[in-house]
Amino acid sequence: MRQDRSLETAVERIEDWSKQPGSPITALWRKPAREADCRPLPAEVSAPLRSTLAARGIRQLYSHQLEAWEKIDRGENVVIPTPTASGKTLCYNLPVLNALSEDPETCALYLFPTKALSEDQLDELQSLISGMGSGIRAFTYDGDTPQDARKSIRQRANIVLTNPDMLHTGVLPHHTKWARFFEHLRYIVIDELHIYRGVFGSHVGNLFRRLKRICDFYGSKPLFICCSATIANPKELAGKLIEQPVSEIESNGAPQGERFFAFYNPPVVNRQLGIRRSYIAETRRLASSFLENGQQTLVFANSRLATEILVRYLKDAAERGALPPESVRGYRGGYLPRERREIEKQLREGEVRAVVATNALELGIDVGSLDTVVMAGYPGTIASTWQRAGRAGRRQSLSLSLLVASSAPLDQFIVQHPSYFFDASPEHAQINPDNLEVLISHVKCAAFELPIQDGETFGPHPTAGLCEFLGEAGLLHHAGNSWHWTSESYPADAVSLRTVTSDNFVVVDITGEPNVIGEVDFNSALTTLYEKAIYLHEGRLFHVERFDYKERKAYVKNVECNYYTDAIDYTQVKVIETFESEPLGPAARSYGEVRINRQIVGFKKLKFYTAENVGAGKLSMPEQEMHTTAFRLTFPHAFLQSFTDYSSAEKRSGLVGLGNVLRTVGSLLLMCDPRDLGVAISSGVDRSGPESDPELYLYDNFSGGIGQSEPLYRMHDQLLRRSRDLLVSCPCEAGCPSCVGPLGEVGEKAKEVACRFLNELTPARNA
Amino acid sequence: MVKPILKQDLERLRRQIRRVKGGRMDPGAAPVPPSVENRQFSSDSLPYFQQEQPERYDAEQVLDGEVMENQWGRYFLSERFYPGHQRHGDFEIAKLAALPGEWLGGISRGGIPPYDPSRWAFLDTETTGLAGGTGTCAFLVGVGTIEDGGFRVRLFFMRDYDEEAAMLAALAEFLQWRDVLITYNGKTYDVPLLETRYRLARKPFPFGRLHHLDLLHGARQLWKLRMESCKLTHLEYEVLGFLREGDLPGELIPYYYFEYLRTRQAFRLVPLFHHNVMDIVTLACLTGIVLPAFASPADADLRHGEDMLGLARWLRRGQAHDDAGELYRRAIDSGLPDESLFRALWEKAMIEKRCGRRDRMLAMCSDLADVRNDYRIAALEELAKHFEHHEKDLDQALRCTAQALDYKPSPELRHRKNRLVRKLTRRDENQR
Repeated sequence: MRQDRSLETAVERIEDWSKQPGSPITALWRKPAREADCRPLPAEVSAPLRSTLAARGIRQLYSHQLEAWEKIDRGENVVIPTPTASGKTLCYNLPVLNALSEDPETCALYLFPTKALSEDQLDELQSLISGMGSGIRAFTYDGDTPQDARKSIRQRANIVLTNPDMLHTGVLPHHTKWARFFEHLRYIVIDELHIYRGVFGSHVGNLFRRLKRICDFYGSKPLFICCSATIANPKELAGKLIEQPVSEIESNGAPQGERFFAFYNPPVVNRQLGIRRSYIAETRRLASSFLENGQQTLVFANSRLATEILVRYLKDAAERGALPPESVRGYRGGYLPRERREIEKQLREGEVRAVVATNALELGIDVGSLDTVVMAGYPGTIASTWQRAGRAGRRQSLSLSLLVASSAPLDQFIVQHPSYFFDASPEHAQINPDNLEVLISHVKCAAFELPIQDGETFGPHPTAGLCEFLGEAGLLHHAGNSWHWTSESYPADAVSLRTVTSDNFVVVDITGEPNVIGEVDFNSALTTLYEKAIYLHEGRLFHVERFDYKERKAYVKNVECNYYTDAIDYTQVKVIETFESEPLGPAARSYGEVRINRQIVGFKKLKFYTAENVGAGKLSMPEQEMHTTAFRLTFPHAFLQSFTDYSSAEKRSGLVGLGNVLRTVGSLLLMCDPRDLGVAISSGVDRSGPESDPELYLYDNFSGGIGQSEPLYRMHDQLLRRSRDLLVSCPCEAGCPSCVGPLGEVGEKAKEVACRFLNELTPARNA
Repeated sequence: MVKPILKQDLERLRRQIRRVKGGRMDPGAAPVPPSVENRQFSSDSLPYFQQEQPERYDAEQVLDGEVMENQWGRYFLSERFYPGHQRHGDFEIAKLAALPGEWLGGISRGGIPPYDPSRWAFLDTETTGLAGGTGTCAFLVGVGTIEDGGFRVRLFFMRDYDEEAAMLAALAEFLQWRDVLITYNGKTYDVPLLETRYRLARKPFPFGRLHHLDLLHGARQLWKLRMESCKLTHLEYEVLGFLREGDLPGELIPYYYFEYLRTRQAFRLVPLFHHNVMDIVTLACLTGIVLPAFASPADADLRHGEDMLGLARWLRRGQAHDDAGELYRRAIDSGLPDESLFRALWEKAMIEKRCGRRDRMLAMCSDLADVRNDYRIAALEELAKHFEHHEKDLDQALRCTAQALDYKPSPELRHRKNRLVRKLTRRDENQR
């Protein structure tokens, strides 16, 4: 009760605050409570299931649950896009459990993106099953499952809860041990479908191609039941992932408590440089005040680094206040499962008052009802932001979410254009299961699982060319009418679903006895583990003593220091092939295949709290080469020369600035992390000659590309207009980190020149 | 809207790989592209790229054996015969035919009925890897059988992957006429792997009706205390006195087979076939040594105390206390290293206790209580129990308990001590 009132007070305070001139609150959005839309349980639901549901107070279904039931009953694959806490698990548990009460041999496979989620769902499922008093057997099967339990699970389970990684390395390559399960497999449940986008989604699409191949072998044809958070294209994504027709559930009958969502933009402290107060410090301040008022608070940070820093800050704050430091916990991917379970439990029981999490907690883990959510920085996508906001206040009560914008361009765009966020549809999730490297990895795994028959297709692809290629490499061998796996290796082990490459570095702590403290994927390693870098782990600082590229190891020592480091890179692009191109006013746009050569050439030292630059260093890291696709803008010399009032250096910095803006807006349109898009400018801004017209590239930052360039090419109009909006509405004078980049890096004229270029490329709307 | 595959993409990858392999990009100094593909291509795992086709030598030309055919197609069958008078190390092949079927009952504790040796099949596979999973294939399956005149090994071999179905069918048919399957680690490795192969070939699995004796378990019982390893080749040398020369290391076997598939040079298979035959002959001879030891432990021809101890422990687990006790005695008498000796003494003491021979149990526990060893505390505890419950000598029981507590305190001992003290006080009060 006390909490409710203090939350109301907090909301009122923010409301007043937002009305003041120059308020940092740029938006306050309210969604009134919504009533439930209920329908009777279908007559086909079996008596034991009906009474179990009744015992848990479920006598009717929400409208979307009924719609799902009816479609599944007709044998349609479905995708259910629902917000957090709308009863989506019943959408799949109901048909599966009912099928099981009719035919006890039925099997179902539940896929969750993380082990923690499977664990959580198992608990819920078990309580339903035990209520039914039936012999239904449900188990999780993942890396944590003890070896001695695995055989019995394979032989007895009706419902197996696992994750794509386990399906990939632990189940499909051993499918003969699962013969009974696959023969009786009727349902495949894919929860948190929206997570399977980008690289991960591209892999998972291929994983499903393999899964369907195995089901074919055992003569089963399971239905897919997918649940997704709100994204613009759930049906398209589901269709691309499972490569079968899917119907979308369009109703939503779940009730919802009253919700508030506020945007907070830290005040500008240096207008000329466009520097705002640190969003991390502001997050700490706001979160601490919620904490002090007794509200259980969830803080989301976007990176491991920010998480660790905020945990440190908030523990300090708690200690200064009356709270024990244990009441503030961190929660991210690198924590051990046992630790995470414990945090979840303490959060539910109220022992922990604040948790600082990365997106590990964004997914539907049941931590009970939280009062407030504070997001340190824009999570990168509209869908993900709503998902995080949904962690506050589940069904009945009032709740408040707060987005604290960083000075990152994307954040600034969002908080300054709240209507973009609140009115627009969420993003499109993109995947490209046809990325050649990803595809080849999975063709290898598929050949390991079952020989590939001549004339067989993998997804839409004929396999002949791929198999011949792998045959030349000695991995496959043609005999009779099929291709066989001829290598002693286990290909699934070499393929990580979460990255394009599975290469990674281990971090060895040599402060005392050498001790491996973590693993870092290849690309992150180059930008976080170079020599002299400061590496953060579990809130502790480590200095990188030695970076062993060949052995894929970094040796670090624990230090105390007041700065962290940030890498500087140098990128060159070569166009290999143009797929399509069109004139664009005086310039041209196109997309196609490129080769990227990238090298980390140095780093900056930045002070904690102020991010003040306190030093720099040179590095000579190995150059990386990558083939990918890029969207590009070509600026003819004639066009550039028409801007006689700028020097070539100024024109160049204008292009650099333009690149930064385009990346921001591009990632917004693509629902990807800004880091998933690379920016580069060709040399030759100051040279003449027709073959070297300067170009600006927005490239897909994954080897082989994951399908981000073509959509940018198609959406160029939105891309350029939104970029201009962002530039025009940015309050800085001549460029800041929120638009074209920090003044010191892009030069004084960057913003002006970028604006001029954009005006030429996009005729004014009302003209 | 799928980009049509990908011919030019594959071509591009090929070029990239050639460049990496061509040495123009030095993988150590710098740009190995950070992808799985390129890493593999740049290393030794893909040595075959762009090589010429060498001259071909077919299996039937260079190997003993013939191409067989059944309704599933063709496969290759090779046979070796070892006449009875031949020795494998110290073991005479003729002894195999004389093994009584009843002996199977000993080691299997009655699980395997007494089938005549002519109904036994010794089986070992050679596979395309140790990774397991559906992509690992048994390309050669050797089966040894005992005949009147000696020992015969049949090698079922697929000259290529399209012969697997015929090979598996022929193997299944051959095994129909046998009742006992004898392997070395087959319960964990060969049989599950073959089960996968039969399932993939959609054929009934022929092993279900066979009684399976995995000799690894018996061999471990018998020799684990003495031998540093129970690997087949190690026992072959230590137990049979046979030294294999020029043998193929197991980890190279897949490589040899793949090389054969690529080059079609069947002479590359010679060491592989030999390796399999040797494993099977050794398996049979070791069976000839392990079986009698377990069938009739009392007259087992064992020369090492540790082997006797191993067998004694197996008997004890099977509740054969008299036989076990006897073997413990023989093991102790024959001289054992300290650690094994103390273990033997303690376990024998427990047998004596079980059989109601308290005096013998007491003597052994007293011995163990006197010197430093792993069983000292347990022995003192046994003594304390004995004095308390059988001799009713509470003072002596307390002394033993206190001594044990001195060596290593534990809540149980403390509890025992407190109870004894209470009992003593009560007794003293009653006496007063």
